[in-house]
Amino acid sequence: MICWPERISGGSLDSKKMKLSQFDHKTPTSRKEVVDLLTNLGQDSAILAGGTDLIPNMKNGTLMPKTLVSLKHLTAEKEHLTKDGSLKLDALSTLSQITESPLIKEKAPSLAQAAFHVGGQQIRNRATLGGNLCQESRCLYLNQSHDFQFVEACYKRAGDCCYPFPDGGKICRAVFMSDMAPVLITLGAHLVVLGSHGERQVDIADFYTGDGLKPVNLGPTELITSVLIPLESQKMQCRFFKATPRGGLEFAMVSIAVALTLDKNKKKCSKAVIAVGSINTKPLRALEAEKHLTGSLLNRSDIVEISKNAANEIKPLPHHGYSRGYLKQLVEVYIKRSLIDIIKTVDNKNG
Amino acid sequence: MKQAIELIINGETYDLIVTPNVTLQEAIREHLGLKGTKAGCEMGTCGACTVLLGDKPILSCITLAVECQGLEITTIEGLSEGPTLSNMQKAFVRAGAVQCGFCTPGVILSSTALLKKNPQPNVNEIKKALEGNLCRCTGYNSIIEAVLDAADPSGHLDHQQDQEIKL
Ligand SMILES: Cc1cc2nc3c(=O)[nH]c(=O)nc-3n(C[C@H](O)[C@H](O)[C@H](O)COP(=O)(O)OP(=O)(O)OC[C@H]3O[C@@H](n4cnc5c(N)ncnc54)[C@H](O)[C@@H]3O)c2cc1C
Ligand code: SF4
Ligand code: FES
Ligand code: FES
Repeated sequence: MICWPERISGGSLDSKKMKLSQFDHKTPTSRKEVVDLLTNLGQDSAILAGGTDLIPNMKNGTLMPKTLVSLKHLTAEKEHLTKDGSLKLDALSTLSQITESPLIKEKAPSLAQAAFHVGGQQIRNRATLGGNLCQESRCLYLNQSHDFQFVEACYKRAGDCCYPFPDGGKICRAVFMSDMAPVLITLGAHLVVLGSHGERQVDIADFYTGDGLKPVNLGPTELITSVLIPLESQKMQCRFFKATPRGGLEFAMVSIAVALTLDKNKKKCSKAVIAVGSINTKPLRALEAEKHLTGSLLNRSDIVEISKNAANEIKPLPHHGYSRGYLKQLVEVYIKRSLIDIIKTVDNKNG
Repeated sequence: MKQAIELIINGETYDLIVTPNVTLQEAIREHLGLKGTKAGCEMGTCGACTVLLGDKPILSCITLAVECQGLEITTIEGLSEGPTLSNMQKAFVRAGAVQCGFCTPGVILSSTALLKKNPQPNVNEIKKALEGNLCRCTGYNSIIEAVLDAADPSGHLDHQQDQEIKL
């Protein structure tokens, strides 16, 4: 039975609704200690980085960890180039640091752009790169304060229904809305992950599961420690565009990341990666469009068709009131803008 | 479990005993009684609870008090010196950039932080810095006027709307 919460049915206004329930708070001083704590505490614990995703999700009851393992006593390593030329970012870097870093702006400008478009400055000052990549997926029903929520819990909250997609099957189609993830996919980034078994590297392309119930491929004892962007990606022409209704403090309707390897003079494209975020349970690639671009000379008339085809192949989940058709149009328009912007830059350099 | 923490708010050190689920907003408003920090959405989406952590605006409603142990925080009460308002506060009065006033403490703190980093911002830079502060009354124009006025009381700056944001 679905019953209406008190506030809607005319009950009392309870200003304490936003209070967090009780939990324990640990402050380890090394990454190894974080992993040990997670191993000992088990499933009911969660890593707390900036808290800008976790705390709201705890307030609305989506997540209810019994212990938070805080990263506040860990020091973030400054971003730098490694021996093999990779750009290394600490997972603890805040999004403000990423927008302000001269090295990141030079070597991975689309990543700095994406960080600049997350939330508002108060969020970016706390939000970390690691937290952004591991954020909860979102759905209009899930991320409401409890008062506005249907009382019966959905699959994601360990219940037995789904409101937007009531076709059964225990499938959650909450949308993964990180702005940083699609950019890192286009840049071929690797995540360095530390766990009870030691360290491993994951290609970010394999990090997202597409399962709304567990969007990231991360074990319960694991922590992302850093992100590596390979040297060859640092030479690509890369763009990030985010479509929002208000133009600030907003999750994307869709976000588009594009990276092309170009032979500068001839405008010939030898490698193309296009990733779309906030579109489905994980970021999606426009593989057909990438194939079309690879090996071809960039020109405006082709780009119109490539963008159309990309919108055709991308399968959006309607989310937050946006229809499939509208989201497809956004994909087309923003891919077109990204590619035209790249052509303009190349033209300017050549001319 | 309760923890003893020390918060340095507006230059004064306060000793508090809190459970980890107490937010910085609750510590400031309810434990210390400083009500200038507002409680709006309490979910990180409106900016009414903005305070400065060091020089940086953050949202106190989604920050745990225990995470701020030993850190320096400025609330709206910390900007004025006795009865003397700060330059930004005076500019808000001059521009009439306050109606109900609920968003004002957060907006003034975000604007103060902006001018410290970028003393002569253009209109788009001001809009960007204030994107996380919602105001349901003023329509924002008077707020932008106030920030421009605080940055340049003589009014000599070029206040064109279409200036780009420098990243
Ligand atoms: C008003 C508002 C607007 C927002 N707008 C955007 C937006 O436009 N785009 C966007 O992408 N996000 C947005 N967010 C979501 C969030 O702020 C960001 O994703 C942020 O980067 C999360 O980082 P954090 O450090 O605060 O993560 P936390 O909240 O601390 O953590 C998020 C999750 O990641 C896990 N985690 C954190 N660090 C690590 C690590 N190193 N290794 C493994 N797991 C880890 C935590 O356990 C938790 O499950 C918004 C949030 C709010 C409240
Ligand atoms: S899509 Fe997922 S989060 Fe949304 S209602 Fe369905 S099960 Fe819940
Ligand atoms: S009260 Fe903190 S952002 Fe709204
Ligand atoms: S003055 Fe009323 S919300 Fe801004």
